[in-house]
Amino acid sequence: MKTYDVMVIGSGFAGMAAALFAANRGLSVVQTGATGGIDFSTGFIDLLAVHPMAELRVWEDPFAALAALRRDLPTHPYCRVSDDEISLALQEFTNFLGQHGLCYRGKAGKNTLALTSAGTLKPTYLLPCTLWNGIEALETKAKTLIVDFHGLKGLSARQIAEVRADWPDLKTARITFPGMGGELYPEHMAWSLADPARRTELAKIVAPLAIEAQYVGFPAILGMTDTSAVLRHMEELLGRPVFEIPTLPPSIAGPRLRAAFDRGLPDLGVRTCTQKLVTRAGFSEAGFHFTAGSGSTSVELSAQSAILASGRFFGKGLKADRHRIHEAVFDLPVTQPKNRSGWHRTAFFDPQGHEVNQAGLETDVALRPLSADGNPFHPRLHAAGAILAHQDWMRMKCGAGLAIATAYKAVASLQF
Amino acid sequence: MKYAYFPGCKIAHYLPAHGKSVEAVCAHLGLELIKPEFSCCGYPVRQESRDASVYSALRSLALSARLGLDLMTPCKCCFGNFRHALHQVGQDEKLKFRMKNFLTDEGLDFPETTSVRHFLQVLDDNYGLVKDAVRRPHKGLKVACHYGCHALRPENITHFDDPFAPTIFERLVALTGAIALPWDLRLECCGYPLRGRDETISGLLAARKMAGAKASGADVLTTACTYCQLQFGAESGHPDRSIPAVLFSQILGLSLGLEPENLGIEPGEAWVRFAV
Amino acid sequence: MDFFSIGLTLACVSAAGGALWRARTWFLRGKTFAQSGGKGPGMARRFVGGLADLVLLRRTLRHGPARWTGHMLLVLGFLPLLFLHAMDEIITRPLFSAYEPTLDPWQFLRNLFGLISLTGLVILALHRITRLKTASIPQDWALLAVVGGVLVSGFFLESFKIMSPGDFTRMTDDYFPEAESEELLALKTYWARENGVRFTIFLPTAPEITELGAELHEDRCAGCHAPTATAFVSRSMTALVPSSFNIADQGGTIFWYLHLGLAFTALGLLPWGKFFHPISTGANLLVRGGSRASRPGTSSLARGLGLDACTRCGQCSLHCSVSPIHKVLGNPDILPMDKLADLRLHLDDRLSPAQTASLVEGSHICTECLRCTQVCSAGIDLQDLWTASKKALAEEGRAGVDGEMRKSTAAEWARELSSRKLGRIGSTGAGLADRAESFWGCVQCTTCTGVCPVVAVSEDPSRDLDLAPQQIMNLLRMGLKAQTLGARMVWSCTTCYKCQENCPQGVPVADILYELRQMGADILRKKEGRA
Repeated sequence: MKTYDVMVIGSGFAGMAAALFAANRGLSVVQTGATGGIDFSTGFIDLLAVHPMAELRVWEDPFAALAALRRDLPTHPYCRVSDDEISLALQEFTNFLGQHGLCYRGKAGKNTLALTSAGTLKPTYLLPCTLWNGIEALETKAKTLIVDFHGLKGLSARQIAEVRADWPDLKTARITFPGMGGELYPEHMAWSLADPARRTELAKIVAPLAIEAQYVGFPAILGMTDTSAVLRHMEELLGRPVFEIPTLPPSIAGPRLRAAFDRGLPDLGVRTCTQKLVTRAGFSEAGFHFTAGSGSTSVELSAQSAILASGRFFGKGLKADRHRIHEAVFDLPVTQPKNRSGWHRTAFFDPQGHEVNQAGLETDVALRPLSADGNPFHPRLHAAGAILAHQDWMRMKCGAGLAIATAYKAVASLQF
Repeated sequence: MKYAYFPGCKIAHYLPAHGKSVEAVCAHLGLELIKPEFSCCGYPVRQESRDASVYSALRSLALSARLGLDLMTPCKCCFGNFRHALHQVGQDEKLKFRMKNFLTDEGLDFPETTSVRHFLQVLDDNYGLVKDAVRRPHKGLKVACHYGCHALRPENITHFDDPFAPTIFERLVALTGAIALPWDLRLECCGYPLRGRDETISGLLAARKMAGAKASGADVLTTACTYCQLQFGAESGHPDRSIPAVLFSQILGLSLGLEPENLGIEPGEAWVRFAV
Repeated sequence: MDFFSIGLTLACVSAAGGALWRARTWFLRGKTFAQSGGKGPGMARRFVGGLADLVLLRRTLRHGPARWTGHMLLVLGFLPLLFLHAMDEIITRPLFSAYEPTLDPWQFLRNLFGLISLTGLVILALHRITRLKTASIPQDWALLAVVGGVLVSGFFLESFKIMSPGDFTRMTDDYFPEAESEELLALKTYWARENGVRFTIFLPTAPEITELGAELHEDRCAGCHAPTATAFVSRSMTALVPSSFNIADQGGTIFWYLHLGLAFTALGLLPWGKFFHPISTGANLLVRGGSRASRPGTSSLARGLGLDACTRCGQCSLHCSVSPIHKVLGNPDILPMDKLADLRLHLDDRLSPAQTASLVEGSHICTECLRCTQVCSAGIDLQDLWTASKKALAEEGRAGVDGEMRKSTAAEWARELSSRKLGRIGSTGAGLADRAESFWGCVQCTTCTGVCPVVAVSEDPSRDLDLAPQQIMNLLRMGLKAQTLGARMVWSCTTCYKCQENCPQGVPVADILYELRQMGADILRKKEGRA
């Protein structure tokens, strides 16, 4: 049985990034993981935008925010990675996506406020290029038309306009999607727009409504793969810049990312075991031994090193019963509130967040998870991504960035 | 290597070329195919009765087991149903008990260890053998691989390849010298299961797939399943087929140096010219 | 008018009239099916191939050497008996001026062919008893019994005639009226010793009497009588009757009526069931021209002929690909032999609604694998009949479970089914749809719906499919199974398993949709009385 250099456990942002970085460095990689992480992404790559959480202070300069964070929260995982490492990681990650039809951009060293389907503004660092014209439109408060569709529940243009009362030149229109009726789903709409004839039909319906507008915005349905080409064509047809707005999850951003990795990782030689979770993990002198999946279709895998990027509760990296949180693969000690009463505050939207969301794995500087005695559990086991303790990625707006950067650091720290 | 050969019900009348080409390729590669009198794999009746479907599969597996052979089939629906049946009896003791009784009535033992392989898996298992046997590689033939969903999903039952990022078909195509092109809809269903049930949707699914394959720039769409080929091929009777569909066993057979007539290839099929 | 004339006349009228009536169905039955189009192979080639099939019984030989042997022996024995013995007055006597049934080679051949026939029949009977008992119906046994009866009664008749003193007396009254009593006695002695006649009187044994008897026999009898020893079967059978029983005359009479009665019965029953197969199957073999495939170009006459040609040999059912399904579901119409019989009845409008439902199920379960067509001894193009009848049934509105479900809307099914206790599918379902654990993880993320290709190609999923996959999951976890069973999504699912494969929470969506379909099939089965 082949012994891989590294086994990546998880196929969310951290897992995909780790597999990518390891493969790019010529390591033999095997990866397990299931849907449930990256598939629900909005497509935004957040670096860091809110700190301190309790004050809801939003930063324009993520690196300045990082400096403050490292000072204030010495246990935050971002303390394990340097700014250089973060920048290199994000670069390598977005280069890969760009090669596979998902272009990303942002403002160097600055967060961007992006429009969400709720009409709110979300600070993020890197966004799909298909959203970029929307940023320009928003920032210049240009005359813009946002279109939504009868039957598509994930985006209401009118809601966006009402919330963005500060953007009077934002107009909205609701139209019927050509060739589809009843309830609509973003995936199917996106696939149908792969057909140029369908795009022409759509443009024909929108054009008369967009005469006054300088920009036209759509829910994120502009193609599944090769979104830039679809966008460009729409711009040609409408004669003005076009942008997308991610719909409420599950939006199409997730499937787009997954498709890019499903296409690109095998080409780099990564062996994938999709939809298989690790059911047994052990190690010996020779290295790690894993069983992925169960029953007659389980697979035995061996690797020298392992990166645990299994995510939190939805990703199945952490499991909670009524009293305690457990780590699902190695049963590593999980830093958590002393008992359940400490998990949540009483107000759901409490700015301080909830302690349970900061539960997770402690690591050393090389991102190796620690056992109860405070030493690395195993010299060649690393952890990355949302499974790490002392971060609240949703409230700090640091999810993807943290995942990618810690994956980078973990791969860089692998010893052979 | 010997296998119990399970052609499935549709080859005899509807697609004899598939059986012919698979048997020719196996004979050439030295893979011996034994042919007991099998019965239907049980895939179609699964729509109406779980027990009938599972028993149908187990019976054929029991016949293979009696011969001491693994079962090989060129149809992905058959493959999938065998795997489903084995999975079901593994999960449900009462079902297993009922099945054992039926088998005993026919003088058969429950198939404890027989494994099921699809034709592509058999080729993959004998990768080196196939590679060395290629004599006339296809130069410049661009192929869109149609995976066929019943072998691929659900992976925790069929265990055929990675369900999101499979590579087996492209690797085998590469052995023949042809170029496998990436295309977005390669893992989607051909729509055959809806023939005779919902012809409209069946036709739309097929058309969508073919348009996608054509848009990728491929010369042909290749299949490795009787049902899929019936859906896309000339046999389907669909009026507008935007791209020709060819059985992989025929593509491979030509590259091994076999004669077109022995592979069931009709004279005048254009893609044959790529075989050097 | 005597027994013979009346019997023969009735039998011939029945045979001829019935045959015409039956042949009429060849023209009528095939008309229900749409034309198949296309061309078949040339007539000349077909005829030769068909002739070979008929004369050599090639099709039977391929799949049953025992049946072939039995049938060949039966036919090779029976045909000479039919033409040269039963019809001796109109065939044999005109052709051979010196013909007498009691002369050789006729007497010997009659026994030989009778024995050959009987051997063949016994082989066929044993085959039916050991392999086809459960599939056999009265007409299967009747044919064996009647033909066997004719043969066996013939032997008994000849046997009693051999022993009959009454017959001896009748013969001497006609052909040796001037015999004196010693001459008669001598002749009787000769006949008792050489030819097995059972006289009740005491017969002398003196050699001069025997010699006289032999002389007289040469003079008067030998011209028309070969020694009865050449009737080797019948003569041997006389040993079965103890010499103290003087039943030869009565026995002869009884068996005369029995033998002729059975023969007339066989003839009269010719148009009934498989009694007709020598004609219909023979014709079909010729028309089929030796082909074992199912080719286009089948005319409606050929179809009508095929429908009538079944000999109930059972080979199709024994080799049927879906026989395991028959084993589980029990519907005899799943197997070709019974399906064909019911198809005939259906075309004659003689099937009850429940039987029609069974026929429809059998029609849809058939996978058209061609095997029954390949093994059919009678050369019936079954594949063509199955595909044509399936289409015809669909056009009549009988398109199987799927077709029935689509006749009502989802709402109509919901109303009908809500009033029932649906419970689990029979006692054999996996019960996924009933278990809370199946749905505990469902967060209604719509991933299943988002990846479903059927939803993708539907212009308006809520109109065309009623419910999307995640909506079905939602209804099921609320226990509202009746609301989901009639949804088009359930019946137009292409079984690609993308939903189940993509579900981030491990909900077995595709398996559950299968279960709903199985449940629908079960409900219909009960409704249509096919359970």
